[in-house]
Amino acid sequence: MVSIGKIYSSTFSSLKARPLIYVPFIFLTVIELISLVIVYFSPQLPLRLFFGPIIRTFWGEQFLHYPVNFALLPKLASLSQKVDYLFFGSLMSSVVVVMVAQFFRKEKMNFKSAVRTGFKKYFHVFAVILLVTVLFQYSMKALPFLLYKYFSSGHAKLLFIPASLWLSLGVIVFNFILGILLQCAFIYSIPFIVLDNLKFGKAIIRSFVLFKKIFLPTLVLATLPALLYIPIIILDLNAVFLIDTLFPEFIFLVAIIGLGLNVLLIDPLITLATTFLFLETRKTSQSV
Amino acid sequence: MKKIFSQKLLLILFALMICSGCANDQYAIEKEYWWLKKQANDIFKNPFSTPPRQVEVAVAKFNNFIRRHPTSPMALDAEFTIALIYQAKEQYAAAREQLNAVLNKHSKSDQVCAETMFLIGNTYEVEDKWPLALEKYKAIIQKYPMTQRGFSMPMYIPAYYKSKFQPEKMVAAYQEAIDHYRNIAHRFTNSPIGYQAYNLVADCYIGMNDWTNAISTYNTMLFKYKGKLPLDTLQMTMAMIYYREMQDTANAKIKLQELLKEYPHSRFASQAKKFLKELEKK
Repeated sequence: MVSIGKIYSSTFSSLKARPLIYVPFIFLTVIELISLVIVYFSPQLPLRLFFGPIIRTFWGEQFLHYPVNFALLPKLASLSQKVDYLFFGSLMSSVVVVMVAQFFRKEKMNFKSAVRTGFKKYFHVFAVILLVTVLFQYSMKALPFLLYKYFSSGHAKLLFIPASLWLSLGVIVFNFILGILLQCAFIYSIPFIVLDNLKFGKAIIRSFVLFKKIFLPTLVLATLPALLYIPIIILDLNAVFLIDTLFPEFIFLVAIIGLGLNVLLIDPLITLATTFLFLETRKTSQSV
Repeated sequence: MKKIFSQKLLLILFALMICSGCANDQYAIEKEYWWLKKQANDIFKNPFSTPPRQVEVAVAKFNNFIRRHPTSPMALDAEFTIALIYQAKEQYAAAREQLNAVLNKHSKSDQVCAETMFLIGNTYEVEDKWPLALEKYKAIIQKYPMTQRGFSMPMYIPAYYKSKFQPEKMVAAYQEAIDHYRNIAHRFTNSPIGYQAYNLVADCYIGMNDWTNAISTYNTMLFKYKGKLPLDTLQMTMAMIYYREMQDTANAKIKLQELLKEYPHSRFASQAKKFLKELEKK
């Protein structure tokens, strides 16, 4: 079994030796930053002419007014990041996986060929990320729905924990764990698609099998960096309090910091580390 | 050609983003006003330690806002806020002068006039000049009875006497309120205003702990508005009064059973079932 320490050592040494691996993440950061700025300006003219009816229809008129619009900003930012990751992250993830494989095999890093491979495998990777996004969106509604049904039938507690705690902290913790588990289950689909040339369905099945085989290391590699995002989650949940106590634009600052943390730190750590784990595990099983 | 097109598109997008926030639209006005209100809130938090200069600057900024955006809905709020700043600093005469100016400016709007007169009365009340405040409050009831403020004003006066531990004046004020609301209820029987007026009559009796008359009023409402308006809240309130105030468990049970029969999907249904179970155990 490959040690977590060795995987992180490979991750950091690859970034040090070949900083070019970081370029896709920087590109994604720029895209997401542009989207975030558009979200920030969406209640104002002239962008309001396009976004105004959409925001009004889905969330209500009040979110087109200052400073209430900042209460919706974390949600809109999250939505825009999901869309950006779906369309651009699909390509970037493939490029990173190819570049990591090139480094692992001690080959000369070829950015252009990595991008070419990324484009070739784009639709399969896009399908995987779309599936994970849809599964997460629906699954994260499941627990609140079930809890609501349970508590509205007259129960005050579940497992000795009161309803208020379940419906606030319980849901957040559940969604956090669910997100990590879903990510881990599907994370190896991308290397299987990009490096082993597998199709969408087969890559997913092989990913599940591999995740089951290297369950604990995968979970650790995905969870440790994700924990860094918890302060951002807490700040987002207290948006209204922060608007009143500090100033409304603070929410936008939090969104920018969250974006930077996610795309420039958490995402690279998870993607590189799990790709290295994939390659090490495959090397070990091939040598056996 | 494609390159030029995509470059032009990026340029337009960039220009749109740069221009966003430059227009003096409603959002920009809201943003400006929010920051102004923050300054006012700083004064309200600690009026006595706020230096006079800071108050002057805040008032000047509010006046400037009103001058630049006279038709904005926030302009009226700004005018009221200036008066409230003066009141917080115990400059009651200045506050009343400001409010009288608002009264003259918005004389055609009953809602604004009622609200302004209430604030004028409030300055007298805070100054401990209750007779002058009462004069203003009664003027609101007389001149603007159907405005939001005017409609609730008859309940404000007995609440004041209650807070000052003056039970006789409180009862007298409640009686006046009951007569006022009964009059409105008779004039507008077939409308929600009539229902609301009857509700306030019942609230007056509850304020005087006159449970029998409160129940009688609710029964009148049940008779007049059955089938026209949802009455589950009424039935729940009656059940509570029967049980808690009149110790009449039998009638409380009847009311709960009626509620569950007529409004099985009411938001009070689960509470009523629970309450009924408890009553049936006794």
